[in-house]
Amino acid sequence: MFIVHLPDGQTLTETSGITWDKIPDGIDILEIVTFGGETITLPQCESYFFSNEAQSFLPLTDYIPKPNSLITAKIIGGIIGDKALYIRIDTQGHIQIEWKNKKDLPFANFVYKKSCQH
Amino acid sequence: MAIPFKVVGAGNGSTAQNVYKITFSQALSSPPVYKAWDNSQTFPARDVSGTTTSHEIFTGTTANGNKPMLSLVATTSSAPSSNWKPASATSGSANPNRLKGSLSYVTDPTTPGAGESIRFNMCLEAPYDATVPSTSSMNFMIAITYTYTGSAPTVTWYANEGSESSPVWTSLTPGTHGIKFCNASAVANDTTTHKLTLPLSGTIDDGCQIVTT
Repeated sequence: MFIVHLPDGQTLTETSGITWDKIPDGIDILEIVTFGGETITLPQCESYFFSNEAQSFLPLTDYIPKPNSLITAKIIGGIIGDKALYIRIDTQGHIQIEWKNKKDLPFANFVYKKSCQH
Repeated sequence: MAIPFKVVGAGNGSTAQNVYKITFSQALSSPPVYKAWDNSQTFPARDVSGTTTSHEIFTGTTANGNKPMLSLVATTSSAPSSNWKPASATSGSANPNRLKGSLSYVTDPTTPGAGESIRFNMCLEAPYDATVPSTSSMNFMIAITYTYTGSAPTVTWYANEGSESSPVWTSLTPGTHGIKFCNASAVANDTTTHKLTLPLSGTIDDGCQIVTT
């Protein structure tokens, strides 16, 4: 889950029920806690992004089970210039860290929150 | 009408846009992705996640050039052309595509808002040398992978039992209903006809898709 530190000292955490869409622009420090309990602090970026990833399954040629969703990963990262630090932390314990081109990210504009440094 | 029913417009020979639908109660943050995986469970159970694509539906057979057999086209933004099933799988994302785990998949062209939907159609192409009976070789599931930043959306799957111009979207009840790929002559309320007959040579597409109990 994410931990957002704002310049005024306020800390906003996902575990306290705050969702990313309620996070304001002006993030000072962004951290993510993995499913294993480790805390990762992101480097200073111009803006940040976060999303929960989930899946819903539809078996075919068979019965359909409960279509309840299953969270599969947390995706978090930051933008520096035209590049993106992309971190995907899945429920199996895998942590995938990549440098991507910003233009290759799939997210809608409302996902990005500005850093207080920019 | 009621379940069981034939899904209107399903399959490769169709230019329908309103065949299957998935509704999200909350806004997504990126376009959802369709992938397909093995299901090792016997219904009504299913695997909690998709990790392998070792079943014959993904590995194919000698007769079909070892291609994945399930094709999917996203129809949210536009109707497909007739015979939309691609000849081969495209590595990564393409629309339409033959589905095989994370090797080949389909990304919907839209990012749904709260209460909005995505739509798609499917086709199963079976080669004459497919394993029979296909109880486990064709046991698979499609997964819709999506992302969100706010409250977790409720995801609901639907099939159309109305018409293309006036769709009647029937939700698929958890643990009660399923979809079978059948011959065109299959009768919805006669389960003894719910089968797909292999050809003597070459391949055959499903003739209809039935939501049944």
